Amino acid sequence: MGLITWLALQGLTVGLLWFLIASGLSLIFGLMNVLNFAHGALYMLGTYGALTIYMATGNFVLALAGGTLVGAVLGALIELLAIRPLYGRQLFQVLMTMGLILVFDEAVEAIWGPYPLPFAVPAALQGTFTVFDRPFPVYRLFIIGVGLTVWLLVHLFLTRSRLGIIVRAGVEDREMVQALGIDIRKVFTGVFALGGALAALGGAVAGPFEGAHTTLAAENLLPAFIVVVVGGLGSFTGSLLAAILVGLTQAFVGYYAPQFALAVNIALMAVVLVLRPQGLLGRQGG
Amino acid sequence: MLLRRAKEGGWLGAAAPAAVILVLALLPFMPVVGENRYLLSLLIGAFVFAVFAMSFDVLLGYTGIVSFGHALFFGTGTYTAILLAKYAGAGFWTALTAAPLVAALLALAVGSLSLRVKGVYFAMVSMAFAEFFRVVAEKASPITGGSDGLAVQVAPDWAYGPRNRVELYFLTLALAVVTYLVLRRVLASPFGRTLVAIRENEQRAAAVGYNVFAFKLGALVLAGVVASLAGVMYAATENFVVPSVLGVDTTIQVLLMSIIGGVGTLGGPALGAGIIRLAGTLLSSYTERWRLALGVLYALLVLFLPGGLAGLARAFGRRRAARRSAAGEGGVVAGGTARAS
Repeated sequence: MGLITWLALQGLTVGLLWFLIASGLSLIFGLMNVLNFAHGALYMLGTYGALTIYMATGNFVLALAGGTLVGAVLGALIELLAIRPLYGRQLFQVLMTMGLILVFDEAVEAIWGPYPLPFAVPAALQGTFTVFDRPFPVYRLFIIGVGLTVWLLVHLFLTRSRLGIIVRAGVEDREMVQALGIDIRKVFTGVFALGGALAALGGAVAGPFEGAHTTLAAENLLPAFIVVVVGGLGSFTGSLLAAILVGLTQAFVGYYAPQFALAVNIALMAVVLVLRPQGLLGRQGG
Repeated sequence: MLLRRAKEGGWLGAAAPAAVILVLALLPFMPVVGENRYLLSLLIGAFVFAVFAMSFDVLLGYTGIVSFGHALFFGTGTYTAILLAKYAGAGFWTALTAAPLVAALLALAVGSLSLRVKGVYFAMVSMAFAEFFRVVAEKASPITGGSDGLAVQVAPDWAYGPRNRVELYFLTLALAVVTYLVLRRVLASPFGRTLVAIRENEQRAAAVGYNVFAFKLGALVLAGVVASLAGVMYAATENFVVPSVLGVDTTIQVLLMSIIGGVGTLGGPALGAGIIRLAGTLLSSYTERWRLALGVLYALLVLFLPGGLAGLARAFGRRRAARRSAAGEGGVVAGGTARAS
C-alpha cells in the first residue's frame, strides 16, 4: 500500500508537468488546427526565464510569474508573426513551427550557453516528508499542487467565463463563432499566448526539479505529443487524464521494469491509436 | 525537354536546368582537377543528403505525407551498416543490401500503425516513433555505445584510408544520380501518379477505388528504403554513428533542404541538400551561430517563397510567359507545393 501510494505520487508529479505542456499544445490545435512543434521550446524558455529572474531577484514566485510571462509573450508573437501570415495553409504553419525549433534552440544556446545550469530549490520548498516510511520531496508535492490548481483555473475559465466559452465554441465550430461577429483572430492570439504560458509555467515549475539545459525542448516535446495523442487533440480534460495515465504508467513501469519505462509510453500510444485514433476524449479521427 | 521548358519558362526556366546539368556533367572531373580532400568531403556529404532529401520528397512533395520522423530510416541505414560491421564483420556491400530490407520491414511495421492517422496527427506520431528509436539507441549502450557513439570502418578498404576520398566521391555521386533516375521513373509510373492523386485529393482517390492506405504504405516503404541507402553511405563516409542521427535534428535538416530547394520536384530537394551542406560549412567558418541564420532564412522562405528555389524559377518563367502572350493561356499550374490534407 505504501509503495503504491508513493509511486502514484511520483507518477502524478511527472504527469502534471506533462499536463501543463500538453494542454496548451492541445488547445492550440483544437482551436486553430496548428500543431505547434515549437511548444517544447516554450517550455524550455520558461525554465531559463524563471532561472534568470530567480538568480537576479531571489524571489521564486516572481521567477515563476516571469517565466510564465515569457511563454505568453512568445506564444502571442509566434501567432502574430509566423502563424497568421500562413492562415489557411495548415501544412506551412506546421513546417514553420518546425523551423522555429532551430531558431529557439540556437537562441537559447547563444544567450545561456551550451552547458546545463543548476536551478536551486527555493528554501521554503526544500526538504522531504514521509509517505508510509518513504521519503518524498516537498517540492514534488508543490508541482502536483501547481498542476491541479492550473487545471482547475483553466477549466473554470473555459467553462464559466464568456471568453472561455468563445474559445470552446471556436474549437467546436470556428465559422459559426466568426459569423456571430466575434474577432476570432484575437481569440487565436489569446489562445496561443495561453498555450505558451501553460508550457512556460510547466518549464518554470520543473526548473528546480530538472535543472536548465538545452535539450529540454526536445525531451519534453515527445511526452507532450504522446499525452496529446492519448488524450485526444483539442480536449483540455483529455490532456489531464492522459497526462496522469502516462505519468502513472511511467512511474510504475519505471519502478518494476525500468528497461521498459520508455517503451511502455509508445506502446500506450500505439494501443490508443489502434483502438481509438481520436484519443480518449477526442471527438473525431485525424 | 530543355526546349519545351525554354518555351514555357523564359530564360531562367531554361538556364536553371541547363546550369544544373552543366554542373553535374563537370562534377565527375572535380577530383581529377584538384584532389582537395576538404572539398571532396563536402561534396560527398551533399550527395548523401541529396539522396536523403529526394526520399523525403517522395513523402512530402509527391504523396503529401508530412513525416517528421524520416530520420528514423536514415538512421536505420547508418546503424545497420555500423552494427553489421562491428558484430558480423560485414562489409559495405552487405550493408547496402541488408539496410533496405531492414528499412522496408520497419516502414511496414511503423507505417501500418501510424498511417491510420492523417495530416498533422501523422507528423506527430512519426516523430514519436523516430524519437523512440533514438532513445533506444541511446539506452542500449552496451551494443550501440550509447550517446558516445560507435566507431568502426564501414567503407570498403579501397575507399578508406588517410589518402584522398575520390572513390567515395564517385560512389556517392553514382548513388545520387541512380536514385534520381530511378525515383523519377517510379514517380512517373502509374504508382507515382496515384500518389500525386492522393496528395491532391485523398477522398477522390479513395472514391475512384484506389486503396489509399496501401499506396501510402508503399510510398513510405519506398521513401524508407531510399533513406536507408543514404544512411549506409553516411556510415561509410563517417565510419561513426551517434543516436542523434535518428532524431529531430536530422529530420529538421532534410526539411530545410526540401523547403529551400522546393518540394515536389525531386531535383529541388537534391539541390537544396547541396546548398545547405555548402552554406552550412561556409557560414560556420564566419559565425558559430549559423544555424540561427539558417532557421530564420528557412522561416522567411516558408512565409514568402513556399515553392523554394524550384518554385522561384517557375514563377519567373510564368511571369515571362504571361507577358509574352497577352492571351495568357497560363500553361503552368501553380507551384509544386504539397497541400495539407
